[in-house]
Amino acid sequence: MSRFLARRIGSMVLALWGVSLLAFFLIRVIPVDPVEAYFAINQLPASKEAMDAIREEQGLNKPLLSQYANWIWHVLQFDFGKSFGSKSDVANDLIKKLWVTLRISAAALFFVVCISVSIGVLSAVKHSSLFDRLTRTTIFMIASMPSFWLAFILIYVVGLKWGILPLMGWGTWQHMILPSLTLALGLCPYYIRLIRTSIVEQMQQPHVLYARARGLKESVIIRNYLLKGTLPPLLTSLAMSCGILLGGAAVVEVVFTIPGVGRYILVAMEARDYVVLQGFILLIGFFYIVINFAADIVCAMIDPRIRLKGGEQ
Amino acid sequence: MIKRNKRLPLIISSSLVGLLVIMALFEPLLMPNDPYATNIAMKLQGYSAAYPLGTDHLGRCILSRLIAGAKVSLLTTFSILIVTIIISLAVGITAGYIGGLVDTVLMRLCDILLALPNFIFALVIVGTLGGGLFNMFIGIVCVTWVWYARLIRNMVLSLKEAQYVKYAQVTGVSRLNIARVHILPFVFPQILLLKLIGLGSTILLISELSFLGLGVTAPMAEWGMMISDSKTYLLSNPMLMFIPGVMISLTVLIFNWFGDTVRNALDPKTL
Repeated sequence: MSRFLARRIGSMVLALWGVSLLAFFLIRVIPVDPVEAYFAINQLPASKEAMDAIREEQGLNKPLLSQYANWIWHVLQFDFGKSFGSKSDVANDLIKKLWVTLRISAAALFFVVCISVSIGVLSAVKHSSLFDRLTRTTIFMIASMPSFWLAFILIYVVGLKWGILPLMGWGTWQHMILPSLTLALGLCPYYIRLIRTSIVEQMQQPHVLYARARGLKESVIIRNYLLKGTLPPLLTSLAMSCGILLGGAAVVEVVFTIPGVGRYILVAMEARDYVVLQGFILLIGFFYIVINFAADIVCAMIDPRIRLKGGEQ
Repeated sequence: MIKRNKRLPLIISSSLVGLLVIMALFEPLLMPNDPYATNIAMKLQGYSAAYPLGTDHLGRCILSRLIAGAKVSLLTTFSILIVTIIISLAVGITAGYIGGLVDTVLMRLCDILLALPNFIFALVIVGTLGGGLFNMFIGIVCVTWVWYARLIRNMVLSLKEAQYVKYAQVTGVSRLNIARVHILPFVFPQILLLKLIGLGSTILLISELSFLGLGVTAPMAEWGMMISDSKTYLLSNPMLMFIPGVMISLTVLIFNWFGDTVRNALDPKTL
């Protein structure tokens, strides 16, 4: 286990460093000067003195490597710099907005697990039945729908026609239901399929057949054998989905006008606020890498075969 | 030979894809009206003979805009398909076949690019480049080639050990020729199949970016943007939002189904 852990920590640190390179150089590789773009987009008088003052303030006139070193040094102290436009503290803003997005994503994950485990198990146990075939057709259709369109349909039906939930905005827990349900519906097709296939496959395995031969109750077999075997692929996929959720949240936040990190970054991109962008890439990358790392560790704890292989795919 | 029970779905799904492509290719013939002609006097009209699906907030014909949107979506999707296949084949085969330092450098680069969630990465690239159809194309290509390149590299690694490749090496066939004659024909169909299965998600990605205002720019018709434009009329005119969404879903459904049937037809293991 310790060798496995050391390897995974090593590759995690490497990935984090990679993300910091990406965050820093992506904005500089693109053939648009951030300061000029900022002045043009915000229709400020682009005098040379004003632009130089901003470059001086942000340290953009220094050589690249010293900029990078300086930036990393500050980032390590959790100082992402000051926003181009509002001059507010980027780290502070990002965390505040990310907290909103994280709550929606967590609620979405909760919905995903509840919906897909129950439907996935049911259609696996009764596989090839009418229910199973209906489920497969339905999820095939849902998987083809764009999330923002689903969101509008939900707003229209649940919010406008039935009038039981608030349409848009942010505040109470009721505001969270529709956005997180939208996000969840986008992921459910994949998870229902994953759980169904995994359980159907395991039903043929010797240890499950043996359990059945011993006369164990079906509910015990499902809980102790089939669901446990589904856990590692499920956890790995859930960790990967965190990335999809954070991305999808941008779309959903726009539809439901939620002050989350996705909308924040869209506004920052429109204003060419590269300091915010840089911090955003770094923070999301960090988050995504750490979650995937945690999922790997948990999987290795559940399934000894993974740690013996050293986590190589 | 493809079995009969697999042949029928394959024929139906590929003819549906064919229909979509024909719609995109012959769009001027199919459109009842000019998709860009605005007519404020006729705004937000219902169904009529002149405007089969009604008009939008600027009095433009919705059906014509749907058909025009098909061209934008499909053309972009297919060009993304072609360019990502070329890039990922080039990178994957180079890394896998040459190996050593080249392989390490290219694969570390892939690792870094995969460290960010796909959609967010595309969003950031398109956002910094400044939106627009071409920038969206670049953004999507940037995020999609990586995964396929790694897959190809792993395929090539195992292929390198094959007897016939070893034999070619021993008899002094040049590296380029081995890659061209012995590796490419084996790798290419598999990648093409995988890309076909992924076509639907590319269409979704395009519509999502356009919805956020990062893809196709204003007068051009695109389904995601049509939905975004209809936001304010959700209460009074829900059809404005409903119709383009059905169009996106149907297109993605057809492409997903097409990918599935092609895979089933080629894979002897599935029923």
